[in-house]
Amino acid sequence: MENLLSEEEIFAKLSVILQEALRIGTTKIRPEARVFDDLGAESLDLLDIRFRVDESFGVKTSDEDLIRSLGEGLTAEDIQEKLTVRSLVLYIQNCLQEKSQIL
Amino acid sequence: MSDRRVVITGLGSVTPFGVGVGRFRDSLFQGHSAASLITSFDTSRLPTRFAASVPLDEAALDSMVQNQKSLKTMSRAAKFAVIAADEAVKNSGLDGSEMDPYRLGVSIGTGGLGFWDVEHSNRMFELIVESLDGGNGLKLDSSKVWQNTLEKTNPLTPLKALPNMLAAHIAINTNARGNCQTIATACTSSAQAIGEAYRQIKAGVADVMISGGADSMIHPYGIVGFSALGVMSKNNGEFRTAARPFDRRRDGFMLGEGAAILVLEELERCKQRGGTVYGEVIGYASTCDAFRLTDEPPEAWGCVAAMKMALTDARLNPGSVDYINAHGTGTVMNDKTETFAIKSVFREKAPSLPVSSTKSMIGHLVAAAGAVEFAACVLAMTDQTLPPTINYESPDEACDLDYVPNQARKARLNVVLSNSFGFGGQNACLILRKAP
Repeated sequence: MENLLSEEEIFAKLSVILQEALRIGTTKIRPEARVFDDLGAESLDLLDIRFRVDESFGVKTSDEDLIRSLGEGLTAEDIQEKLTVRSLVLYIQNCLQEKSQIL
Repeated sequence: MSDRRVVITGLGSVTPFGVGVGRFRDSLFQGHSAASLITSFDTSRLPTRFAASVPLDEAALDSMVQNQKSLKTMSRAAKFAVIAADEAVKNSGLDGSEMDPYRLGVSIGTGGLGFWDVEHSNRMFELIVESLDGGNGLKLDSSKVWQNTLEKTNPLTPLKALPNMLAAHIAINTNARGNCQTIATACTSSAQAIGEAYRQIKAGVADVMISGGADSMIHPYGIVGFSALGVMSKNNGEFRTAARPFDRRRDGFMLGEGAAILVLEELERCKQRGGTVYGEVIGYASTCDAFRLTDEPPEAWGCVAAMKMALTDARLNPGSVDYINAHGTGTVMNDKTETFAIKSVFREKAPSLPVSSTKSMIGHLVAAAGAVEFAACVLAMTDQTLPPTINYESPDEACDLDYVPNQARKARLNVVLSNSFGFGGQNACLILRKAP
């Protein structure tokens, strides 16, 4: 069941997604790595990553929820600075929990 | 009048003969045909089942693109363009870090139908099938198709459809921050792209332009579309020799795909850095028939004017031209009209003026045709060899020029001219002179 995935399991799945979306090697993908500055993403890649996350985890992500998950009062521009692999893992975990509550 | 001169200092290509100018040159002068049966999708119920495809699948092409992440937003044509641009820039020896990036521009001709490649066409087909409602007797709810398309198509896919993505990728790869333009005028696109790049260097608004074109329409919508218009050869039984421009038995063109990119540079700048010059662009003109979308106007006024105006731009008499690379599609109308137009412009010189159609070998590369054929002119010039019109067997009384039949021929070439014509009444003409 997707909603029972641990943080480590989510990281492992996300790592494959990031490798494919950003065409990068697995060694760069560490929890503290920033998705934009460290992994080389641009805004379009985030759309791609979200699309792949939705397909792979069976969730429905959104930019607004992702920004909210990063902290209070942030804007879309802050994503570039704040979004790390770990924050993405936590956001996906949150999406999975919300999904399991609905079901 | 500007005294700035524009020379070609780099060349790159992806053609139905493969990747690289070396392969293009060898096959061009050996008179090979790149015709093959289409295998990338099922053409069994279509009237034309052959084309001149670039002999590389997507995985092989992908491996040649340096910026792997950019592949997500690249159509097949964009990959051709980027690979050819890489070769051209390397070949020129140009060092972008040593120049003002705002004096380096990009000018590309393309069609912009990259969205509808084989993969996306198949995906749309699956989405439609998935949207059928089994509960109401397999009726199609179109609103569900569009919802499914939105939810199940990678959000980056639509970028493949933007015509200017090719130029944008080249600009990013080369740090070209000057004028970046895309010209989409059907089959004259890339001839105009090169012509406009030449004008910009001549006018002093750029010092170097990376210019050419790329296209790929050997996909379901391309084949269906050109079949509907009735302009492609249907001679599947003789597909290896079906592309036969100017021959009496011609029945339309063979579709091709690929790219050619040239580095155009201001002559003095090239001399200062010690670059190699392959030839000089000395004339360009483009006109529009302003008549009907696909019919030639009386006396071919648009293409006659384009050739005359390009000669005027080059400050040359018609007698100075040593070879014409014809548009020469292989449709009944084009070849007859182009022959008439050449005779109108070159008069008494016409019977002794060699004219050939490289489309007989590589097919019609649509928006990339002008650039690839101009590259063929550069090779003709550097090798002092006329590329042939292959598959030429039966003379047509309406086409009575020297078409360099079937075999390449050595010739003294100082000035060559390349014609490109397109739907919409577009005409473009480029003139090249031997390296100064």
